[in-house]
Amino acid sequence: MLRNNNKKFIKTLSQSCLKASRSRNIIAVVAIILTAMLFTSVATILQGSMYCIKEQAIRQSGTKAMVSLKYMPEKKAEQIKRDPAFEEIGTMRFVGTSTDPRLERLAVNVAWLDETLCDLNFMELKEGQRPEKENEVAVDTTVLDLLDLPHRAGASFDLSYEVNGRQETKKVTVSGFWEGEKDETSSNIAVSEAFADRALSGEAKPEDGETAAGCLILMGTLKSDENISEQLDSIVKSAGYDPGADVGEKGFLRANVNPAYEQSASLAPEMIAAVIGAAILILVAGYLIIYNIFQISVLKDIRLYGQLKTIGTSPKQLAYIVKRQGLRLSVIGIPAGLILGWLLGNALLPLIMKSLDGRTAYFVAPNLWVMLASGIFALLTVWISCKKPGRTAARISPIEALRYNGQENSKKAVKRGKESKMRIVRMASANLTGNKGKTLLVVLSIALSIVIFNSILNLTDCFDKETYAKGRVAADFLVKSSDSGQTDSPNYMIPENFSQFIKDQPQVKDLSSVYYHHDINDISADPAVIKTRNGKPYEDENDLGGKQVYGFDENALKRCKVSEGKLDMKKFASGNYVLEVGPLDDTGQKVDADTFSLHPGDRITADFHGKEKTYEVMACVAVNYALLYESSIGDFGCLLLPKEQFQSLYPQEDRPIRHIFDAEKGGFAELNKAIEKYQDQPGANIRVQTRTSVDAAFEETRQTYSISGTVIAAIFGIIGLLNLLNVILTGAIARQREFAVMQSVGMTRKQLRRLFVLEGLFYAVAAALAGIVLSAAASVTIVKGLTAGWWFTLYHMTLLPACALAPVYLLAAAVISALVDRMWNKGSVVERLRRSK
Amino acid sequence: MEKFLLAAAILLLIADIAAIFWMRRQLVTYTSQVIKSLEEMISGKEEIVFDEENETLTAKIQLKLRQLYEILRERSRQSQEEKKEIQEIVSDISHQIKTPMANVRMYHQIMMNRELSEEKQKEFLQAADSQVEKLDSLMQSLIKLSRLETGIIEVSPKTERIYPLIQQAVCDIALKAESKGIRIAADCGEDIRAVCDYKWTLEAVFNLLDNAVKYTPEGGRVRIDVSRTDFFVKISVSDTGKGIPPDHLNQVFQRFYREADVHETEGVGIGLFLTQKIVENQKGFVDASSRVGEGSVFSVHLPGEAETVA
Amino acid sequence: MSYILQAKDLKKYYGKEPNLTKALDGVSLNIRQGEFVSIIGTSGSGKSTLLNMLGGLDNPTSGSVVIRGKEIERMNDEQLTVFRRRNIGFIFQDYNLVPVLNVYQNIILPIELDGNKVDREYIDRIIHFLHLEEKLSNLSSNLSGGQQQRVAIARALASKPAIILADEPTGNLDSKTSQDVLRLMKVTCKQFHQTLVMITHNPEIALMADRMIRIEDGRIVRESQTETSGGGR
Repeated sequence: MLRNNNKKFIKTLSQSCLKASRSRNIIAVVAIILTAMLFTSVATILQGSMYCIKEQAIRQSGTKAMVSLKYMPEKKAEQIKRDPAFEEIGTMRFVGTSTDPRLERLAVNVAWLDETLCDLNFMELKEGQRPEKENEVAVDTTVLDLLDLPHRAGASFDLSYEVNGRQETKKVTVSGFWEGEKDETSSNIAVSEAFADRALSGEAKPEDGETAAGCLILMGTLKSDENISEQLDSIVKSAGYDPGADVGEKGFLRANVNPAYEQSASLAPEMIAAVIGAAILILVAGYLIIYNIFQISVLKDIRLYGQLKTIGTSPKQLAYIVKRQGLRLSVIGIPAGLILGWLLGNALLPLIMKSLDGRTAYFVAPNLWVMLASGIFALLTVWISCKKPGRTAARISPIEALRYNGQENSKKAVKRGKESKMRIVRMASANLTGNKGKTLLVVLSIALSIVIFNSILNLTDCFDKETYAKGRVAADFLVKSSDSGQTDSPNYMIPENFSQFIKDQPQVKDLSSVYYHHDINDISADPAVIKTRNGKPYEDENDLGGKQVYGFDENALKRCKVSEGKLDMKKFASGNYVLEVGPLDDTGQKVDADTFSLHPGDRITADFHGKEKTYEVMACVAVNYALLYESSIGDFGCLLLPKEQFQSLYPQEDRPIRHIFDAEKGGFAELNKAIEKYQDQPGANIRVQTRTSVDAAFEETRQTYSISGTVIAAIFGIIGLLNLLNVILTGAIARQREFAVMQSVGMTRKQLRRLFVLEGLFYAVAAALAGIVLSAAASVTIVKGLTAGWWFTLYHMTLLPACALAPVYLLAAAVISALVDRMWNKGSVVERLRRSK
Repeated sequence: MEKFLLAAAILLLIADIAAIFWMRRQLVTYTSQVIKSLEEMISGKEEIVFDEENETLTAKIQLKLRQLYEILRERSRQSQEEKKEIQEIVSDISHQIKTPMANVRMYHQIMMNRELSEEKQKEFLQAADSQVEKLDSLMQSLIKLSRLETGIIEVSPKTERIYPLIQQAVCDIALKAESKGIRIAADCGEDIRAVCDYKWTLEAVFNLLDNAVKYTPEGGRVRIDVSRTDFFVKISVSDTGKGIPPDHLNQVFQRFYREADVHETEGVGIGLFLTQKIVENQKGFVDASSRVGEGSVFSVHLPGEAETVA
Repeated sequence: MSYILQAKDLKKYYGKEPNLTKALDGVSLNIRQGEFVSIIGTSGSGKSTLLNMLGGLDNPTSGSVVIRGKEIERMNDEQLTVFRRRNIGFIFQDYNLVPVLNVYQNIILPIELDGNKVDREYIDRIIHFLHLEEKLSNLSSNLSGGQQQRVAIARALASKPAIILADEPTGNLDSKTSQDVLRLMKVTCKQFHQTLVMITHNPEIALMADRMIRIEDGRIVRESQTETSGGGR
């Protein structure tokens, strides 16, 4: 409080200093803009990817609703709907299920839905209106397709449905329809209130928790998306139910949280690490250049600061003068950087999202917190950058500053001819070695961009297509159901049609089929449980004996890699043997021996869904993970039986989950075309992975990394060039007098330009050499380390990108130097001598 | 929400109270520092240590206090000095006047009370007249002095050649010197110039010569040397008198100062003082050196010709 | 009365044996408050070095400088700078005006640096006396040498510092202006009881001082009283 009130004039002084160095300000503002831009774009990408991942998950889950509460009577529903925790809540009145055979593929409910519910479930009417009359319904395009109806309101069809086991058929008109999701597994036929009332008129009111006609389903969003499950529990509790109760127990209410909201809460640690790393990198890069600019400008103005100090400007005031200049420039630079960064972030987002399993990107609106955080980080960078120059200004010894005249001048006359050429080269290099710290800073900042560029291209160059393909796909073609991996879908097996179709294709070679047992009603039930091993009760530290069961045909067996024991096809076909299976690792080469809990020679007795059988383990084998069912990869142990044995144990699994096959020599393109054509048919319901699609995915991944790497390298390159411009420009200003003096004693205009260009080139050469050497160092350390973490890479060193970038810098340096020369060294010698005073 | 607001309000209140207490404390510290300095100033302490090197408001006010204190002390010192000087002058003048006046009175009383021969009367009148003359010359000197000091007579220095000035001065003293058989020698370059007022400088140099002749025994010598120094032209007058003891050397230029053992010699002790005043008025200065028994050197330093000095 | 400015056996050596340069070689000096001291000597005699040291701009190799009873080596950089701002006005040979500020801002710089209110009347008087009214809004770098010198003088007087250290303050002014400027400085010094230490080559100006110190080869060779023989005032 008793501190001196002398800040006002220091501000004026700082402002005056600011005005006096215009060219420095431009460079500094550009540097600040770049820094802020980088921070904002990283933050925008982070925010955007979080947003996109969440949005996508919500889309995939088919509903925006955070929670759903199912099967309750009307009275309870009314009570729940009044709960203040809800933001929006929609109601569905279940009437029955469709029994139309054409819609068999889907689980279709007939129900009355209110507007909110339609809204929450993306059932936006594309055409027409909501059903109002008794005979009106609204459906999605998938249903229309399956019923062979045109995408138009007004069409009629016979709706056959079942209410509490009672079959009904009614002629209805489509009053409107909405766009169906691709490959959807369930849908609704929305009926009018009158329809529902009529259909339910004779039915008994459903009991609490009973899935019967007339029961209500509520779906809603909450005001806050934090602690959703706790909120849901309290809603359930206040409605008079017991959130802790299990199925069948008293007070049970089926209440679920949308998994899309559950998972979005946390961010992958790699992502966080990458963002922190990027932030630090940007901070360092921004610091390097902003610090450099201010340090050089303080050194240039050292006489001024010395003068101020003799008059009594205290060290603290001097430091403040410098810092304030940085902050003033930030006022211009940071907002501009924030806007540009937001745009850049949005431009880069699609690339990044693609690299994250090909998700779609959405345009991200500017977010206050993102802007605030980026702004603060950018300001922090400026603050840190100005600290040391401020201290330099503060610590000036006044008497030395007053004596300081920049560099020592070499005022010798310049002779013409060969000798003079050498002298100019020497003068240019002497200027660089004169201020080693400054030179090192500039050289390093340029070299940094070369290193980043080289490292990233080196890394993507190490991506190996073969390894990638081997890990991703086991053969030329791999076909599975489009529902494969969805735990509750009945259509996880390949449709019969396709199996038929593929058998008829002449180009197919080694068609193999994989069968799998999967209980869609109770996914947690193990298909097989081992009871005893070698006569003793089964015991293993890794599992309790629960096993997945696969059936392989002979061709499929050939694609297995034996890890332990020996696979005798004939003996195996006898049906007395079983194989222990594990997935190959990402490279498609090896298998982790620890995955096997059974070993060749073990005799096991297991319970296969009620049938007890005894087998001998013949071998342990590994297969490409693409052959295994998605949900069974991981901690599950798997048993493998011959196809015939498998089908005798599980007669209902009559169709395979995977077809794997190669193409006959030269037949790949034709086969691929045929399959593609098949796939385009409505209801084909298959997914195909081919070598080419894997190749495309590989190229895309590689490109994503290359592009983002090049963008980052380009930004650092700009920073480096700015530094170069800065150092050459300030050098030109500081040594104006020296040059004018040299010219007055006989140096020609041409020689002066040569001196300038040479000096710029020296910086570029030094930076290029440093960049190449450091790139090599980075390659054997960082890049090598990174490739070790990626399964589809094969490390090798390359310095080609660095070597290719070097001439670009050389050219840029020459051009910049020539430009600076043209800008500053014009006018007569006398004029310049006067100007420099 | 309400709880939060309440908590925030309470926190703010506490912060406010703390801030008020803190400000109050700062104010008290500030006041007590200022008061301490003021008390020291009131008690007239010589060395008050003020805090001036810190970036605080206290430092700033202390700085101003110190300036004020110093200026006030300086003024009071000056006025005391002036008072003292006036007292001294009054006592000096009255002392100088007292003796001749007493003598004149004595002569008058003798002449009034006793019958004296005309010859005797004449003798007494002459004695009285010499006393009056002494008073007159004293008055003349005082008038010159006061004119110089009050600036009624302006000295107007010009670049003058020194040679003719020395010639004139030697001429003026020649008679008196001759009567005492004193030889005068002068050494002066013809082209030496100084910036001075011819008339007044002549008076100053004459006073020095007069002084030298006065205190040099019969048959002694007086030398005049003129030379250039740094920026000055130095005119020194050396004699072969009995010299002045070093501890009295500084006093000889004082008003009405006379050596204790020279009372028999005529003079009121104002010549050297006048010389000094004249020279100083022309931006020069005087000095003196002496060796007891060998003689003294009195010098006048006049500003040299501006162009000729670097 | 004590001394405002004391130098005790100041030495300043540059370089090492055998190329040792002795800029100052044992200078002791006592200056009373209110005194006007002129320093003369040939160029390279160490005058400017002495002046810089008296103002705490330069550090002596040995010896100490005491200003107002405070040994300046004892202060840290911050304190010394603030102390200098408040107590010492410098007039440099090459003016050392702040090029980014205009004339008026340069003049009030020492006042503003301490956050004090500008005494407009007093500043206007100085500006008027030094004929700077017309130039106030010019950038100081656009002025002639003589103008810059006058600005430097105005700046030193503006904050009424207790000590003014001047290095050839009138080197660029004609003799009439020099006399006038010096008279101004003397008047203000007397009014505010300021101490003036000045390097000069001009005898007329040197003689205006109370005391003249001659320096040669880093030593004081002669001190002489000028106006008054008794010393002090």
